[in-house]
Amino acid sequence: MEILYQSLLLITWKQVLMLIIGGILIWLAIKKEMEPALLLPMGFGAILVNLPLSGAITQIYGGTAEIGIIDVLFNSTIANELLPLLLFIGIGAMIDFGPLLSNPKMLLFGAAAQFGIFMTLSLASLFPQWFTLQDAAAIGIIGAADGPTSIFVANYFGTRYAGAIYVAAYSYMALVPIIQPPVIRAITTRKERLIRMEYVSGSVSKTAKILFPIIITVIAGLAAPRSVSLVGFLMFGNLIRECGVLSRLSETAQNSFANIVTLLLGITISTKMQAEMFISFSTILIMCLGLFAFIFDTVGGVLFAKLINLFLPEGKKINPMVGACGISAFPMSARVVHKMGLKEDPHNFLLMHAVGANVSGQIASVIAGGLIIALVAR
Amino acid sequence: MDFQSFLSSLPIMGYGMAGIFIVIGVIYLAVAALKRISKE
Repeated sequence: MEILYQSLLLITWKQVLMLIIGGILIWLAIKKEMEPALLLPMGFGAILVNLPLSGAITQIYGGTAEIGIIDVLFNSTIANELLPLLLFIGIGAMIDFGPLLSNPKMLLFGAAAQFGIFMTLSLASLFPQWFTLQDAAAIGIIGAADGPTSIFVANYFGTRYAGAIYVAAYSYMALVPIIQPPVIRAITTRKERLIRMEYVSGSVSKTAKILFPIIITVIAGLAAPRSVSLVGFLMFGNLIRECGVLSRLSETAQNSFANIVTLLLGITISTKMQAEMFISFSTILIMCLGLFAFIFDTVGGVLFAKLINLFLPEGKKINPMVGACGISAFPMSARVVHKMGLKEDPHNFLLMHAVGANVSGQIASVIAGGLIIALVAR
Repeated sequence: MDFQSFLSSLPIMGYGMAGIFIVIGVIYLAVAALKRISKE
């Protein structure tokens, strides 16, 4: 009978805490509908890998290593960056870059709102006793507000804090509607939030839509060749969408394909949520730094819009809230700003501008990931 | 807290932000040219 309770006697307080954290993630996914497609598999995975002697992860039994399925999945799909990249095909197929092509000025906000990544990298460097420069770079990329990019970069640097980084990236993305509004309100005046922006829906030709992903891939690939797979897979998905002759593939990439990859991604990254690795002071610090990253991203985008406004004539000014959408987190950030605009003035429709800035954030965050890889040696 | 490490990481921030604005600037020009060329 001892065999039935021997693992219960082996459970540690850290594992109990991880089981609770797993439960909380599942609760957030179901009850609060926060990124349920990822938080639920991650939460369940956290439970799966933190049971004592869990056969889901590699264990030593009687001197022999028994390989766990979660470790097999991790080594064959995430350690080689396969799943994050495949997910980008699905994401690329979901995104309509039309609003950005109509108003390419919005691209600049995508760049400005990556400030949080680099600021957080520097902040994490304040603690060399916990974080190497590579760890700091991996932590900074939480500010990309883009799960696959965070996984890709954290994995590239082989940081031991990968679990905390994944959880922070996905949790804060889900918390964008809570994080961004107070930050935006704190750094804008009501008068600025009331600025109306005229939207001229310039027709974008099919040729432009087809050439766009190819051009982006070439430019980004030339600038940061080591990360060309990131932007390349994103743009490949978009090309499938826009070419007009692969509608079945586009539909598959947007739905079943993206769903299967997401499902596997969530449960597989839970291998990095094993109690011994996850429960530490540095995890708490990473969660705080991740929050800073999102805040500084928002601040960067908004302040950049305010800076541009200094040079624009009355009537052409940009509502600085739109700058905050340069954070990737697509499409939550655009929705948040659109709602904030309507709250200030029920006749102020910022949605299309916000979407333009938001999709540019998607491109810029991937480029930022590539630049971090290029700037920080592995 | 090690401010020396913080200071030594600032050039990465500078190069990173400059790099991203340059790449996005090039993309902006390319998109503007693309729009002009491919007007229907």
